[in-house]
Amino acid sequence: MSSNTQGSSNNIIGRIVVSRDKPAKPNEFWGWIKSDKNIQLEVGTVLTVEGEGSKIIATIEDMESISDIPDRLHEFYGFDYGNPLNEPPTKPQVIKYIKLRVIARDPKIFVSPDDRFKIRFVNSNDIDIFIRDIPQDKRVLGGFLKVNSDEKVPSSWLPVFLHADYLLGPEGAHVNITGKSGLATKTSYALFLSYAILAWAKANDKKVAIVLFNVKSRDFLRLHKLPDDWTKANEWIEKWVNKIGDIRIKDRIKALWEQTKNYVDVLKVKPDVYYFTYQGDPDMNNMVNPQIYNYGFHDLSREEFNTALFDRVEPTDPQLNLLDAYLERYLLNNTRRDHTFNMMLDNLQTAIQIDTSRGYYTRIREVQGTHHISTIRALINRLHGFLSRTSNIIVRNNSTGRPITFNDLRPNSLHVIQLYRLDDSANRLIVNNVIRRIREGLEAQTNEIERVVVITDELNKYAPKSGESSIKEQIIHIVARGRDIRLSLMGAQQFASEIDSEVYGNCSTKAVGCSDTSEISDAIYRYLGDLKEQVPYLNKGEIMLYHSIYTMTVMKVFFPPPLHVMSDN
Amino acid sequence: MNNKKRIEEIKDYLNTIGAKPLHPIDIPEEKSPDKHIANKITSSDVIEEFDIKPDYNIPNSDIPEFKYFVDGVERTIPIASISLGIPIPLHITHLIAGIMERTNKMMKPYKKKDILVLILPYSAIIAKGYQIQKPQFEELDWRGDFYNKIWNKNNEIFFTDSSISFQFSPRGTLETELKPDDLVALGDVRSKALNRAKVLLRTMELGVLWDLFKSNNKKFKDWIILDGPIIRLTKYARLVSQELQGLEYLKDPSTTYPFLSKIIGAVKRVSVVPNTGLDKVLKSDHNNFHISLYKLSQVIEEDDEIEEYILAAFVKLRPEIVEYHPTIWSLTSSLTRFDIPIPAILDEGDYKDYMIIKEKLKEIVKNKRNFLEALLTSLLTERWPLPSSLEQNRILTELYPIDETERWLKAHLRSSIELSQGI
Repeated sequence: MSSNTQGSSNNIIGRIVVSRDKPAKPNEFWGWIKSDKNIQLEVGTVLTVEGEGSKIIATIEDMESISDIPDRLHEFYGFDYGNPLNEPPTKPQVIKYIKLRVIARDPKIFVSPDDRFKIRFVNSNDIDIFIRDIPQDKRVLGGFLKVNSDEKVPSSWLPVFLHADYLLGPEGAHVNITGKSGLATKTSYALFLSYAILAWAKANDKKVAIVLFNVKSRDFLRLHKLPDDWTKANEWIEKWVNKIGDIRIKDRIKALWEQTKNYVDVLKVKPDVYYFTYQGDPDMNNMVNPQIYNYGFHDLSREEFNTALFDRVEPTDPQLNLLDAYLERYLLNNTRRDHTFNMMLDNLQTAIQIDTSRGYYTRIREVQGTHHISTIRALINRLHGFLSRTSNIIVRNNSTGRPITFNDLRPNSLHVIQLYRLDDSANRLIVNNVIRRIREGLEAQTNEIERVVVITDELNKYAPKSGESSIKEQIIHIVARGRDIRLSLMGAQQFASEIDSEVYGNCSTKAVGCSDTSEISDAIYRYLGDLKEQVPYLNKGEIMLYHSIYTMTVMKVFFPPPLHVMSDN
Repeated sequence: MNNKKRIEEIKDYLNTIGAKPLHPIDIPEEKSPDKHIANKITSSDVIEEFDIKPDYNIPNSDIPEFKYFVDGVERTIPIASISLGIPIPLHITHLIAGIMERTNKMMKPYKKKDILVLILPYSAIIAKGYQIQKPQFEELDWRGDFYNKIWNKNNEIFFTDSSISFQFSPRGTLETELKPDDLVALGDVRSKALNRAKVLLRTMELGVLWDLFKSNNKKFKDWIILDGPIIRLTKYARLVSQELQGLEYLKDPSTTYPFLSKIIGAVKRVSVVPNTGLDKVLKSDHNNFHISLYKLSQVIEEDDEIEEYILAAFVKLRPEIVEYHPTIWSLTSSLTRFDIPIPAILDEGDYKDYMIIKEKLKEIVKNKRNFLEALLTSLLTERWPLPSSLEQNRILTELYPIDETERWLKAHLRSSIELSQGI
């Protein structure tokens, strides 16, 4: 790991502060750093603090540079009375202070430091303290902490592990990733975690399936394009980092991939990728052996009919009663399972061909009760609208189509479901349907898959902060109960403030990438503490990570961009 | 030995003599109200005058650069009292003297020495008829040899008897500071203890300079600014080392010259001001600094021979601040005095015959005018940045590097509570 040697005096870079203005607390304290240009620290760097038999791993949460110049007036006067060209013979000493938040400590006690402990860079002997709460067979790589100034050295990056039981159930589950679009945070981190989960599954003989909804662009459509070996991969990385131009990030990415290889060898994991798409998808050629999916009348649940027909529209009670009655007869109590959407249209249209002089209420074939023809007309309109918007995923004349089922999932593989360019209602219908089938499959344990991770961007579409929908209910149900059946939702969105607070709150792992100040000022981000201020300045491949096993803190975590995005080079 | 252990040793001694602990009282190192500034006028002749416009950004190899900055700090508190009919206060002083070095415009600690000294009027107590055990710590007394005791032997705790002076009377006898009957005058007992701490601090400052001097084969390679008057050092030179004995009397040019040839004293509180030549100095502005040069002997109240061989330059260091500072009522409080020993402007070969130097001082100064101007220009460049202190007098008159040195040393001063802990 680090080239620094534990205990050597030149390794000590500072001391913690125990003063009246900055008292040291059990979980956070300040320290000063010696004046040395070679010591480059930033918010998020992880350091070791030790003394009096205690060893503390802590992350820099904030930093300040101060001098003994008391105020702005002094600064102005001190420069030859406001002459910016003046170069005084003495530069006032600038002292760098860092605020440290405790991540882990040995011994594991909650007390404030009782002396001015030494601060140094983390070395390999310190890692055990950091990860001892996660058993070897539960460690899933979650990214890296920066533990040294030199970013191009792989040992400057300390692996941070997530606990499999808190990531995939049963102790906790679900991941939420927030961040601006286009900054290689949300999907990149979701993929990084996916490979880490698959590497963990392979190493521990677990059967995990990962389902990714491709909601925009071609985010997940090149996952099968991985280099053959690390020589090739290094060529890709080299070309790609040269292309992006940012020298600092370039060195970092190379080092991060070097270090990642030690824990997650993506090329050894190299999961099979299964693509599922709809008829007429213009991106179909980018996929390998895509399977066409579609849905017939009997492939949907009652809730999914609701989602399909009343998308963004609040149905009236008579409309709901009519739909319930219809589904009661043709969906739920239809052992022959022979009904189709066209039949439904026929039944409804036939019902309104009546002589209205005898009244406006009528019966629908074999459906219980009478219904007002305006209610039936409204439902027909909804059905027409839905069928015209979803013609590429709905089969009208067949009672069943080719839905994506739990049995389609293969262990330790990636399953990409194409939603891009679909209408929102179709989009929601498929997500709802897929998640329902996975849930039912896991509950019934109908195949060898033990755990499933469902990854979707734009979670705000499915579980918005306000409003009710069947898909939102299902997601709320999953985030509350999914961990018991090992169904983990990895949701991402630009603004976590726009998703349901219960959904966000139930995620045992939260990642926040670069986001605007206005977003970060929302109360849901309170757990970030002082690190909140750094969020708008996060770069590509940087997130603030909360994982429930690390109860003490949020960490600034780094990860490399996925290899498949470099394939176009 | 750590501080706690040092204090423990003193505590053990105090227990043996039955001293009782006192509440800690903090007496700051320098607590001089402004009333002590420019409180006396002396009749003085201006030797030379300069009008300087410093240009900070033009490097000039002829202008001496100051590399080392010397200061000392102390904290003295009564820590116990011994009841001899009346309570006699015993003091402890923590003394630190140090040098900071400036490299690439950055100040760095260079040398530092700190000691603890137990101050008690031991001889007066014994003479009064009380039998108390003498402290077993190394004694700092009129016999001197402080450099050997503090630096060579590396002791950390000392004892000094505040009832016996470090000075000899004109008749050659050792003077008494406190007689047995003076012990009832508690204010006098305390005052003598505080004075003793100040004197010891001066010897410490000289000690660190002597240490630097010795480590450079008995010469100073680089220029040094001392916080305070030069004569503060020379007065107690003999106490520090036999080799320095006679510095105050200019005994030997071969000793005096190398030691004083690169030291400038920066005096931020000028209590005695000359009666002539100051008006132009006080009219200085940032475009033109008028500096008047005097013989130090004419602008101080001491009477050591060495003062004849030190020049005193009066400077209004920061006229811009004086102009805009709303609380300044006396222009004389903006005066800084730089003490420039004659060795600093002469070559060693020219510094041999004291009588000739004394007689021809004006001529020497005239001949060395260019160098003096360069030296004063260098001192003027030190006026920025401002010291961090918000104290009015310091903002106007103190140099930043000296302020930084003092701050560094003060950070090592033990608090009153630490000094008295466990006693």
